[in-house]
Amino acid sequence: MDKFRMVFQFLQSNQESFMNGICGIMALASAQIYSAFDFNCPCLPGYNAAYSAGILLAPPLVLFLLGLVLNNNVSMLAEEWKRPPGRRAKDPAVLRYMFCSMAQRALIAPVVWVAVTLLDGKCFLCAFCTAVPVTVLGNSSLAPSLTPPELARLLARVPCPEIYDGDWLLAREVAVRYLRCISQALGWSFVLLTTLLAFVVRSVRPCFTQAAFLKSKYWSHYIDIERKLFDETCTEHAKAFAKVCIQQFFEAMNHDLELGHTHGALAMAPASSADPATTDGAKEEREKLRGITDQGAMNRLLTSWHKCKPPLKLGQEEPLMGNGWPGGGPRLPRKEVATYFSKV
Amino acid sequence: MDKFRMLFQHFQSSSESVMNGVCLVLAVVTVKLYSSFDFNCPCLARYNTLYGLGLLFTPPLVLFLCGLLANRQSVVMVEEWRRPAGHRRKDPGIIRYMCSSVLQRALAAPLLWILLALLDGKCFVCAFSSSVDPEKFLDFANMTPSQVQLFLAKVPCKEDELVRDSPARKAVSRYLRCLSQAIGWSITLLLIVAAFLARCLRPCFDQTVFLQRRYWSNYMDLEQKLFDETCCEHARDFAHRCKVEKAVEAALVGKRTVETHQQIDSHECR
Repeated sequence: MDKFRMVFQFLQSNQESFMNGICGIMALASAQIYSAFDFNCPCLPGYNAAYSAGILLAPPLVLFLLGLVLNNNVSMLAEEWKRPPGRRAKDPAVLRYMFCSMAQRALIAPVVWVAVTLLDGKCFLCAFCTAVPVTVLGNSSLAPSLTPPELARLLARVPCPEIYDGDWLLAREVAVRYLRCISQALGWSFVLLTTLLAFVVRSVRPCFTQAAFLKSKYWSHYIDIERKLFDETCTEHAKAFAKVCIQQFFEAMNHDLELGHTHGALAMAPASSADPATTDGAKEEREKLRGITDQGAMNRLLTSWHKCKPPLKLGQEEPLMGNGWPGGGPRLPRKEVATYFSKV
Repeated sequence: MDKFRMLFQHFQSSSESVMNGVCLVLAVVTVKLYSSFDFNCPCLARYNTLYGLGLLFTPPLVLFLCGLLANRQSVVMVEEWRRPAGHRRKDPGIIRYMCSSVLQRALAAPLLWILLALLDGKCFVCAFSSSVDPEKFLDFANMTPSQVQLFLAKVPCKEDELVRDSPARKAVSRYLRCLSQAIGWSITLLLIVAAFLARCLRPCFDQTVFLQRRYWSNYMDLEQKLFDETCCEHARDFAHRCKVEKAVEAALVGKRTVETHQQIDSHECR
């Protein structure tokens, strides 16, 4: 269990590690789906090639797009690309890095599918059975007796053992072996090429712009972590907001009942006029609100988070307009604080 | 146990995570259900289509409704829709956001069933075997139309005497399965492309409004949960206090009764 927890935490530590995990799972799933999928060659002259091409190309596209969809970085990339610069400049190198890393991970499952398909051979057999050289492999003397459409119809049934009726012209086993051998050769070449490419890219990359690469990697991790922390902080804030709201509702109801009012739901007593609860728990909840205590302020906060992201420079002396995280540093000048937090 | 607790905590971290967890569970249930279901085509002319299409669309409908039922946010959304405005304004954008997120998650399991059924092919073969054009296959040249129809209706049943070991049955079955798989993969591709475009292009439209709606819909969900918890705690305290007060009252009543009896006794004895 401990081992599992460690692995889980490691994979969750940032989006890249998480995506590595997802990538591995999808590669396994790709192989599993292929073995569970019942390949069903139509054995009709026009349909064989279309079916095989479809099975070779459509699932890899689906797996590639699925790999991108499951990656939260896609929407993060789009957000980062479309946001107004605000107080934080946009760095195209970071965007390029994010896109490359996403695309690389998403390509693994399709490559596994194509490799497994070629190594298995059924797809290739189905697609090219009509192109087998009958004159070389079969009874070349009998070949001219058939018109091309009849020959095509006969050869199209090679992948289907139970309906093949052309043993007099070309033994089915011979054609199957021939095509499977070519398919496997292609499959291994494909695997070799992709592995070689991956190796070259990985080894040669440090020779080019290593400093810029490190910078892009750092800032792309930073953007990912910042977004996650912002979402968590918003959830905490929402929880605290709800708790305080409900407490105030109960107190206001109690207050009104004591005064003899009996009609239904009452407004929350404004914070300035009512006495806030003095228990420690209530104080803690209020602190979590960090001063954002109404819908308008929260909406403005969320708007400026997108439109005007804070600069990447901590410990500012001038007030940070629009993102509203007070405290935790030197006190802001009183005038600005009053203007920002005023409910007028 | 530790593993489950960790997974549980991860999924409970926000209402969106909870919904994703429910969606995943339903997807796994769908796959299990499909693989354990014993498909049984009737192989009779008019019933084939009914059975095949019924099995293709009825379980997805059931799974869709289950997806809506299992999702707490659907109840929260309906409550928010129907409540009187009161002191808090209603925002139709938030209701639309909640509706779309509930629907997206509820649609995952039904679509998975339909895709599995199409990629497997049995439903499609059963439903459309009688509608195949016999001209495509040379094996039917020597049969009368009624014989052809009878034959085609029995194609989904491999073990039936009429069609056992018949190359014509295998050819028709292959053709229909291949068509079914092609449709299945095309639908999968379309759905994935749509999901990808939706995910990529969303930040291009109204990102700030989206952030606000996401925050407030999460807020509503949390508020509802916290209100229920607060009411529960309150009810528990209330009941506890009632019990204690009743016990105190009973003790007082008992004491007064004893005193009264003592007074009566002393009065009689006078």
